[in-house]
Amino acid sequence: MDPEVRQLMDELTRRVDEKRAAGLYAVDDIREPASDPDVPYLAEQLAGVADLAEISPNLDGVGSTRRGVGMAVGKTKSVLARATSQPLIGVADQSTAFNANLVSYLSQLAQEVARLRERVAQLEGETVTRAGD
Amino acid sequence: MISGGAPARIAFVTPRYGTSVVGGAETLCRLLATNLTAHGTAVDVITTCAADHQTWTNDLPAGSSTVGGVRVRRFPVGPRDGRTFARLHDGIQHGAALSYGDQVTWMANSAWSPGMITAARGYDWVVAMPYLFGTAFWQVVDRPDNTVLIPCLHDEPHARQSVVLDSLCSVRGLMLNAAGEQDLMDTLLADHRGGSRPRSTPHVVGCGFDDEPIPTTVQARAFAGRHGIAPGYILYAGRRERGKGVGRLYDHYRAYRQASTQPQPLALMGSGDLMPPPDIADHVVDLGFVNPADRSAAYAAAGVVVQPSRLESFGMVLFEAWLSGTPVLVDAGSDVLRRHCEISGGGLWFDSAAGFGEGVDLILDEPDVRHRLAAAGREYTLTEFRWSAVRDRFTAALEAWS
Repeated sequence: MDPEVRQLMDELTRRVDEKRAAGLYAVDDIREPASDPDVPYLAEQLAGVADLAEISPNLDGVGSTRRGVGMAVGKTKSVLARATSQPLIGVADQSTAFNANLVSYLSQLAQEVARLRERVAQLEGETVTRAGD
Repeated sequence: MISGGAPARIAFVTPRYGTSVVGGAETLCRLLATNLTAHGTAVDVITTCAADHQTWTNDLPAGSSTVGGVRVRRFPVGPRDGRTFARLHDGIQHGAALSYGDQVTWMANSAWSPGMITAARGYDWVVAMPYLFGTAFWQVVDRPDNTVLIPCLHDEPHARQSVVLDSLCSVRGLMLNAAGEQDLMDTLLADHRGGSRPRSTPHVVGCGFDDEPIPTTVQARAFAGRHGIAPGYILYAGRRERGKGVGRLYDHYRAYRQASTQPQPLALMGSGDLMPPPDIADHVVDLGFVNPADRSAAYAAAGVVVQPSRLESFGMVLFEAWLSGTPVLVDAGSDVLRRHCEISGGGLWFDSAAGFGEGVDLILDEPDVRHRLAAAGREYTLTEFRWSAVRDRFTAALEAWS
């Protein structure tokens, strides 16, 4: 591999780690899950999913940049958005409740799997020791 | 290259041919045939009367004509059941395990032409491309000893079918487009029938480019100005289709805009139906079809050219970007594109939204890095893929198999 490209890719990896540590790109990394199905899902990834469990409609950013009438158009849009979002808010609440319970259940399962893994490793160690006796 | 004292008669076999035909393999065929003929290695092109790769209707007249100095012989598409083909083709795409017989039926209902097969028997060498169509498949079946395949392999389920892999192993020679395509083929054959190998050592030939000057800053700025966009944009060039990774590009671009302190607009060059989602649409500029004379200025005015496609056997866009003095950022999922970048030093690659966003920023934030990457890519293009080098590799390959 070209040595400069190798250095730049190392720098790129460092920047990616830095941004992820700052909480950026969380949604997008989850959107595209790890391609290797044999790699276990990490607790940190699950924590990232938990952050997304809360669903809330975004009513910001409905303004208008039209000259002159922009403010009035923006205000009208906001009123309309809020007025027509009431059913959506109900659905969002229902989704949030479901997601929160599901993630909580998955977290319990993940902890149980981690505990069982430790127990298996411990038993395997004991078996090796006994065989050595 | 001679055959019994006379120059070898060479024919290219391709499902469609013409200056208005869009497609990677079809473009490669036209450029190779035109360039070889112009430089003393005459080739004929044998193709169908079809222009549309969905319907395969015989829209063009059968017979001989000359296109760009190359003799083109057209024959009607043979009988086929489009619905049977679509059912099997889609089944493979979605992971269905087809019996060998069904795979043969798949190819029997692909685009093929009995007239093409008969006509090809009059040549010393037949160079068929790409692997995915009946035109190439049945040519290999008919005359494997005189046929060379330019498979244009992609990492896709169709390339894993036994009939395809048997075809790769039975043909006299294989011309590949890039080192990454060779890696892919080795992987596919290693898993086939407990480990298979091609009949002879494949040759990497690829497509060629001329040494053209990098557009000046004035030309680049003028292009950008005409399209109402500031130079330094992120450019995607190609068809706007999900299969080309454009859906993923939109997702990554959205994440990049949220994370970057100085996000640049995304410009799209080419056609297609996959429009950007509303939340990023205001930051996406549609350059549409850019005529060839302006294309290098479009690349030169870009800060970086992104290629999200994982289904590339050559990566024409990379070379066009490098020749115009612009580095590239490619999807790591494409062995071909990533290998070009690894070898040349002309670009970086991403495997996530974060990798995409930070890759764009790393290239755009540091002009020195951008310049060095672009220069390395240009040097690679003009060393490895200059037309004279490609022609030499093409004739050397045929001589090796003679």
